[in-house]
Amino acid sequence: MERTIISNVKNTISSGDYFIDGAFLSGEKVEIEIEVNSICDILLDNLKDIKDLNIVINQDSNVRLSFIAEDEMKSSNINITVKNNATLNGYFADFAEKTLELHCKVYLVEEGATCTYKVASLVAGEDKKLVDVSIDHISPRTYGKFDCYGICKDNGKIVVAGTSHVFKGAVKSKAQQNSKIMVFDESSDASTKPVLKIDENDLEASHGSVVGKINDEHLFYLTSRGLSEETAKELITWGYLNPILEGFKEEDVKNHISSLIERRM
Amino acid sequence: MSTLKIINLHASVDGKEILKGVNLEVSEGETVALLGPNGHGKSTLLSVIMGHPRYEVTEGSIYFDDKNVLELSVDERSKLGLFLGMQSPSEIPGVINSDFLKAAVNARREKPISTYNFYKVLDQATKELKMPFDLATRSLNEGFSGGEKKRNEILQMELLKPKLAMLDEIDSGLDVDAMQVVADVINKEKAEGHGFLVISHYARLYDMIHPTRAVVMINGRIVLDGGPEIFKRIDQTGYEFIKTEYGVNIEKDDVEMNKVSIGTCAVKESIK
Repeated sequence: MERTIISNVKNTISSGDYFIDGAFLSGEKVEIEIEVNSICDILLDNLKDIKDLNIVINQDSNVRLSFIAEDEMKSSNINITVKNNATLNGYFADFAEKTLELHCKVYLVEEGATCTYKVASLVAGEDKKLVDVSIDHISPRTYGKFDCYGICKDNGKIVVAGTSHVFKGAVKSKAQQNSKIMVFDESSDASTKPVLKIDENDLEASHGSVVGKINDEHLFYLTSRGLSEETAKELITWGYLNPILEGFKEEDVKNHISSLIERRM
Repeated sequence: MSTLKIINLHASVDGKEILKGVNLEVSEGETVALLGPNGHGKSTLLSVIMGHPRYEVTEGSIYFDDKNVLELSVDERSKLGLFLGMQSPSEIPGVINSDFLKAAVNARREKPISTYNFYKVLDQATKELKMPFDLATRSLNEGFSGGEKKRNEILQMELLKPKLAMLDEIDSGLDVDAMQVVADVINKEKAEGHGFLVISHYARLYDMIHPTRAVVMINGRIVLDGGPEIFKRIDQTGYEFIKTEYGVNIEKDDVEMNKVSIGTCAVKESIK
């Protein structure tokens, strides 16, 4: 199925597959409203060129928003509002070179709103990256989950900031965060800042955050079968990052992401 | 000659000496049963031979194929023909079993194996081991049962065809039928001239693979080297006779023989 290209600054869309190329909306503030009860798959490229991207997901809609960063991305902002019983599944494949700064804010404004947000990030060379995702639970029975998997090597630097804010009155909400960054060498620097802001008592919240070096047992296991240390690390990197592919529909896009991982490894 | 020669080997972990002067020779094509009470260095010995970074060799030498093994990296030891079937194989999320196996096969070939030929070989090997083929397409050992992990170790051995396979409690977690399947593969490899150094707490596995020799490790040294009658005697009477007949005091005799055959993890106990 061909994707419909979104080329306007203001858009109201219903069920379907869509493509946004930021290069054609350069410097603009782009707004997209998804009609009630819609199922949408939105692929976003060149986010770096858009000033701000604002998305409103209306009642009972289900949206997959997938995007890839492969060039420098100085500061990009995405704001997503999720309404009654609507769902956002976000996937961000970050293989950008040099500088990346992403600020994504998700507002679960009405009851039953759901957001899962997955990020895979490869940081190498002289890359400096900030991935900042916050999910606000404003209404009851909202669900938010943020997962970030990263590899940091060869002088790369990354900060992953995840904030879950459960507002007073957002009862029975569930907030989860998981960040795992694997650091390959001493010259690289990774840190995570998991924040839970809780203003309600009746909720579930958890966060897990790990920054660590490659598991020696894993490396030993793979090399004990004859793989060089370099090949073993490549396999582990691949294994760490490739689950992000599930967030992308087209085979050629998956292949493109795979080639980006291989190139940057 | 693919002979393994270990001379006066001392090795430590976290400053604690585990191996205290091991001398052992395994000739080409031999099948040797490595026995001993828990916590006396059997698993450590195999890990040190394979080059586990946790262990520090403080004295002694290891030769295989007349090459100084201690000078080689872990992958070089593997490519030389050594293989360690592990007691607790690592689970590596996201690394697809078949990708890993193919990379391991290619590591010892000049020209990479074609995808078609690789899957043909893999299909045959999984059938031989009565493994569901989908295990090959899952993350490496992740979510595998204990028995599936052990079969996966043998699958790797079958694909890599090592000259000397060291199997560390490869039978734990296997039911009787699965143990027979694994034993059949070992016997097939034996018939092709490959050697084995096998740790097991069960006489059943040894009965299936018929070791040519048995060696007993106590207090970090090999204290007894003889024929297969040794493991039969140990299975029946425990290690007590080594004290009484050979005058070897078992320093860490914390597990009685009738509990030894349950097969608890020796290495984990020793490196806590």
